[in-house]
Amino acid sequence: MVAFIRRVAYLAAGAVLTLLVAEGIARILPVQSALPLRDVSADNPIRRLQPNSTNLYSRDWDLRGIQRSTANNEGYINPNDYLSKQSRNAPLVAVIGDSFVASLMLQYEETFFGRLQHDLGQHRAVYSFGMDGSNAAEYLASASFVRERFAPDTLIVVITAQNFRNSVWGHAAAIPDLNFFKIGESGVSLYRAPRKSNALRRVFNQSALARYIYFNLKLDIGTMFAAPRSLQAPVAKAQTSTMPADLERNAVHYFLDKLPAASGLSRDHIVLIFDGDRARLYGAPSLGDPMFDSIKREAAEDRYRIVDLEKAFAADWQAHRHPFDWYPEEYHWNGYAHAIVERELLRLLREGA
Amino acid sequence: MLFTSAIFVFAYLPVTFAVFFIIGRINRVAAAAWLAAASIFFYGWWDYHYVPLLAVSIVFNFAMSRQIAAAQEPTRRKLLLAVAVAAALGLLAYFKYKNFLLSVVTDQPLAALGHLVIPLGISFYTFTQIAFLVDTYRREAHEPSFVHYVLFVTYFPHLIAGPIIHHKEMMPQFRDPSTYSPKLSDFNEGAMFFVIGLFKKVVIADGVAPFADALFGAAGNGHPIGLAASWSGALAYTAQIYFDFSGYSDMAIGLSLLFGIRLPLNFASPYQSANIIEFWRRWHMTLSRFLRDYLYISLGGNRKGPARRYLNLFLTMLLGGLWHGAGWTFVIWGALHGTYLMVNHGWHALSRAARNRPPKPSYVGRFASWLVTFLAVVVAWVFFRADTVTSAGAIVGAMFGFGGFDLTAHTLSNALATAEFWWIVIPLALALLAPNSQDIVARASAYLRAASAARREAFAFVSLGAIAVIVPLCVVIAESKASPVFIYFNF
Repeated sequence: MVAFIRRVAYLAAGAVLTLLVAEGIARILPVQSALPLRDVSADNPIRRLQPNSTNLYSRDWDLRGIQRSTANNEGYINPNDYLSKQSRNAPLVAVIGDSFVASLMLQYEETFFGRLQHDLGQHRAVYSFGMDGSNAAEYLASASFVRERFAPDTLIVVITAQNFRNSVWGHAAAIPDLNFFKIGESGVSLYRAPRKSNALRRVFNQSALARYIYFNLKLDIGTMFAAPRSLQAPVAKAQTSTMPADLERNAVHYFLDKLPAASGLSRDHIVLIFDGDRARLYGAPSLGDPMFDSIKREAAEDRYRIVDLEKAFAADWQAHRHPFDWYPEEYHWNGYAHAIVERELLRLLREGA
Repeated sequence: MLFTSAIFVFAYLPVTFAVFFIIGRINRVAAAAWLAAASIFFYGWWDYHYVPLLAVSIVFNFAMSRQIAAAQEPTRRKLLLAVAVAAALGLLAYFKYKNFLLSVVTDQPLAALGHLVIPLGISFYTFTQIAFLVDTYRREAHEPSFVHYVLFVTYFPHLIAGPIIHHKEMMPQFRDPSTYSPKLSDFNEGAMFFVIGLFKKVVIADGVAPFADALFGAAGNGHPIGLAASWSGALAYTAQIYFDFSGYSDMAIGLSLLFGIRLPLNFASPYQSANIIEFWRRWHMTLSRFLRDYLYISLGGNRKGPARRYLNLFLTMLLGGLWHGAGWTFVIWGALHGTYLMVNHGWHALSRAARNRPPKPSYVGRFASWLVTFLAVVVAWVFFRADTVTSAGAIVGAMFGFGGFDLTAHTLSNALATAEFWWIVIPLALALLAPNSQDIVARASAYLRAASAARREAFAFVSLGAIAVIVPLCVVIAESKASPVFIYFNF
């Protein structure tokens, strides 16, 4: 028995020592930081970052694409502080979106809203309200927040493949403080996911090794034990949705119906940017939302203004074969894609001017 | 199933290991049969469609070896061997070289014939079995146990990408009763080999791979290539292939040691070689051994005069190149190494003739010799890695200044600031200066042997604790990658 305990103690000592060394190494490396979120409360009705907090982005196991950024006075990744509607003279273009708008992996100057601000000059302010993990329901809540605080003249909403599929409560990961569509017999309503105790998360965020495993390596026990991996061309891990199509349709109807009221703008002042299925362009399995075509059609019938990146990306790919992201490792838009988004957006805005 | 995958490390390996030693206490043949069955399952995990092909190949070759062993008449023995070897090579030719042969015969570009799916490990299990057949013919091998033969061919640590094993070193271990009892020393040594291999592959080889891929991708797309880019990409691939393949071999050796079975070593710091003859004694050693014993010697070796010896050397390397893949790039890679070997042997012959003794170079001479050898190997790797002869030619041309000598944008201070520089320099420095896996494990084992029992126990269990953290961490890193496969899976 003594020998057994001694051996277990040796094993534990070896494991703990190694963990400490690994933690020490991770601390000197540019491991991705955890987003310094601000709790949602009566004062802060929407999920965003701590004002003026700093963030470090790196991706993959070898810590590529390092970007450091700072949140502005409103807790959004943007080098410019935002002025409220009372203290601002220029009309405002507000951009709402998820991590595609937060763009932690890019310099501000590379983003489509950074480019747009540059091209529009002082005549208009362009504020970005991008938040990692946001979904279509959160966009509605964000639109209300933006309306009340900043009163934009134009609203741009970036819609990506996961935005509707991750928006229905009970069919998506329950991200604390995030809004979801709750679909019941009485209809659709917005529902904010309850906050959980942050104690464990705070401890977790303190460990660089834990952040490396979770954020850089994107540990996913489920897919680790999935079917055999391809021996051919590398393919991004597929994102699957378990949400029934009729629920997604309900969410889409609700979103398109409520967005004007939430934003305080008529539909012709709202631009919906729909991402394209870039993986398919590369000849890889689709990473798009199968319902995107019908959502776009419905939005167009509702007289929203639309930027269809499916067409823009396809045409550009045909001509230049330049990737729009870092597929298969990182599927967010790169600077090249952001330039195309801005070009398409400017074209649409000028058509309407 | 990849050695670096979670399903392998956390499910397949523990189950196979535990059941093997549990059955081994009761019945050794049943334990060997279990290991063979588990190996076939391992093979079928990717694509079960090729399991019948493997099974047919094993049954046919075992039956033929029995026929050859039983035959008394030399002509009949020779005929049986010829039929068996022709069938094995025919199978390989059909699955691996069909498109290449078609492109040669019909003069169509290889790419136009579409992508050929090659059954995993076919080159390795074909060679293993041909060696067995030839040795049976030479009366150097005889295996009455079908279970041991199946295990010999399918044994999962070597099945997909070697090391190419020889029956002489495997069959006695399968018959040895002590193999079927777990030993802490073997487990420790195996775990060390496995961790070193895992680190080589997951961290070093995969870390340097993007820099090699960038060069060969650009060349494949017809982009212009500069002097610095061509050298950095070629050196990156030189590091990548060594750490990828030697990492795989270390993992295979380590896994096998967990089961108490020693596989032959496959690498011995090849980039430290001072000449190309030495390189081939240190690089993919089990393939070199196979080519020497079953091809070079069969062609006549050095028994038919110097001219024929050089021709045999060249042909052996040419066919060795073709074994790696069905394409002109591999043929050129083999031809280059064949030429290198001819020049090296010729140089030695001239030196011996001039001085009447083998050459003994000075430190400067040895350094120059190492440098020439290393650069020759780097140039040859370009053909090995490139998709087409055209892109390989473009890269080699750029390496020799045909793309210009402009290095103004590539000052040392600029280079030092890039991740690329360090990702290439550090692995190459490790390959050139650090002790290799077997040296590290041997030193640790020697320390353990000399230590007291208490210290031995402490070292064994503390290191197992460390391994219990490092292995899952490396597995999670490997699983995070979009393309975690080994280079030699293509061959």
